[in-house]
Amino acid sequence: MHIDGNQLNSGVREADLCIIGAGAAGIAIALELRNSGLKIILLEAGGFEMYQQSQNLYFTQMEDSPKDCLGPEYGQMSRLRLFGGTTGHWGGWTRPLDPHDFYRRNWIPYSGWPIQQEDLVEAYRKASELVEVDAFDFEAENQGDVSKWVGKDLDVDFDGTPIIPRYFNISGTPTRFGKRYRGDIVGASDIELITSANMVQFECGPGFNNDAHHVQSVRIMNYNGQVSLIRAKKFVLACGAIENARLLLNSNDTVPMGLGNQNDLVGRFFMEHPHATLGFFVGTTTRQRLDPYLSPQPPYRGPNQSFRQPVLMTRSEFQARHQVGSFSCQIQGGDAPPEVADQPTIEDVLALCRKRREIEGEPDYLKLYMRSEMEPDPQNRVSLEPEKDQLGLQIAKLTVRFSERDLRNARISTEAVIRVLSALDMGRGQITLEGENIWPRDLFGGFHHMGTTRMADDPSQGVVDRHCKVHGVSNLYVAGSSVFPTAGCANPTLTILALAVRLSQHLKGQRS
Amino acid sequence: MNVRLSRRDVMIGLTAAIGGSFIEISLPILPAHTEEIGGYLARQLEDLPVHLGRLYLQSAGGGMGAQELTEKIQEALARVPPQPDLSKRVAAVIRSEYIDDQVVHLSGWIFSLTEARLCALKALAADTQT
Repeated sequence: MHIDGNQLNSGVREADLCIIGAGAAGIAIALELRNSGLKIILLEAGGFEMYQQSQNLYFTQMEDSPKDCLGPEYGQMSRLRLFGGTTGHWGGWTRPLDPHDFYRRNWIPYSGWPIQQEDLVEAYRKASELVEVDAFDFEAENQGDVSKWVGKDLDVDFDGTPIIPRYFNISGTPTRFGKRYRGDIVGASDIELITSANMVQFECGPGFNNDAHHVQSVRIMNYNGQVSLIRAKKFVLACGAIENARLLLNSNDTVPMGLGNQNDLVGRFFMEHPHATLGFFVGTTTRQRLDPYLSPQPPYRGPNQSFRQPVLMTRSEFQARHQVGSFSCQIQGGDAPPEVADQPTIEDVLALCRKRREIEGEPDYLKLYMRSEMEPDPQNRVSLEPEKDQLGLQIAKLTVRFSERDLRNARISTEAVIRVLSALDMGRGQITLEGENIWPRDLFGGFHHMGTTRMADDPSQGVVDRHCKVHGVSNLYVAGSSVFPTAGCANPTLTILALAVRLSQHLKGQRS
Repeated sequence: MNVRLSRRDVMIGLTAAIGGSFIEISLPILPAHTEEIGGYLARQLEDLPVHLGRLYLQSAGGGMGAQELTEKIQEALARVPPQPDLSKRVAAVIRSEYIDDQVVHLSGWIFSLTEARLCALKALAADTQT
């Protein structure tokens, strides 16, 4: 059933479960809990279509470095405030986090999940169904064997090198949850979807079982300023990493520091995936030998024509030896760079290559485009500005600084790709950083917001436990990438959905 | 050319290949096949980019001479299993240097140390001849 929140009068509605946020995670949980016997209210602050009044409420004050790398409009640009959420501009890239992404890595402070990849394998399969891409093949040898996917022998062998081939499953026509699942949600007899329902505050009472607090209701406001209450036995906050933190911090009527923030962790450890072109490669046989890496790989499967995009990643042993995080590199076509005095020329480089292998045809100019892990840092955070929005909520300030280790990871991992391709006689390459400690100009985030309500079994180390329940609050759960303790280098959508599926199973299990 | 090359052969051969009377090594008795090895190694240096060699020498502070370069190339060659075909041995050295991060950065470009040193030898030879 659908209710337009702008038509609501003040009053109280009741449910077994209230999900705040109808993006990928919120919709997935509602779908998973359909027909479970629970009465569900799903709240969406926007409508079925985008409208500016709603989107403006995503205004975020930016404080980032390198200067403006994410841009002053990042908070509004990078997310969509409507039914279906940010899946409305999702690029369709899916990949699970790798096993080592879940480990405690001594060289990365605050790393380590309380769950492992194996705990999510089945949920990842379900997640792939939800985004309508091929299920991921977890057998490492199949992931790495590009020859097998493309059905021909490739003259490339990465064994014994720091690099390993992997792939993303990409949806050719990414599933927009707002369109794809609207009928399922609205048509479900046990789900009440309320649009134009802006959450304003959690209202709490005393908690149970050692938990200090228990959420009794959530206060919502429509665009006419009308306030009403949703009472439920359990609540799931699923509004994305910036908004999850902002809403918890703004829920400070009964808990002055904000709900779940007894250890000053809510909003901290914000993470993105730095994306940038860090390398240039003059290939002599590259395009011929690396052809499958340069283009999407059919067969196209399923209704969304999903396909595989091979990438080169660093092995976990390399990451441990160099004390860096995860890294992936996509090889893309590029242009010949301008010649610069007192630098090696393209002809110099080609002369070297000719000594090792014959050049056939024109040289290939390639870009090495990287996506890498940003280390968790408590100083990167969502905090509240004194200024309030039209709902009376303090606006969010986002502080983002990539660390020296983040840059070192990007640099030495790109160098490793260049070294390996050179060792395989494919040409020679150049790191295109403008200085030792300067990111390239095209540095940007992937609109991947992670980490502001991180998962840890120890309440002093995280906001939610392994079941995504907020520490110290007996009936509040968080869904989405805000619970990621570390980011890996894979796009987060598949893991967001896998965690949502896992949380749904947990909630279902509690009921039974 | 399939010939087993000793360290001394390579040293002498490189010297001959670059017309290197400026390398101060003692050559009391030249092996009979010095000329053959020299010609072979000269072909290894043929077409190598002199410009790259000069840039490498500049990056090394300008004090590196032919003898030091030759010794370092020789040491690198000794680290890979002997092969009768020197070009395969050089290729194996270059491959292992890329994998093991034994590289030099020249304005961001990444080259194996041995290939940069071979270019530097070529540059020294070219500059001596001019």
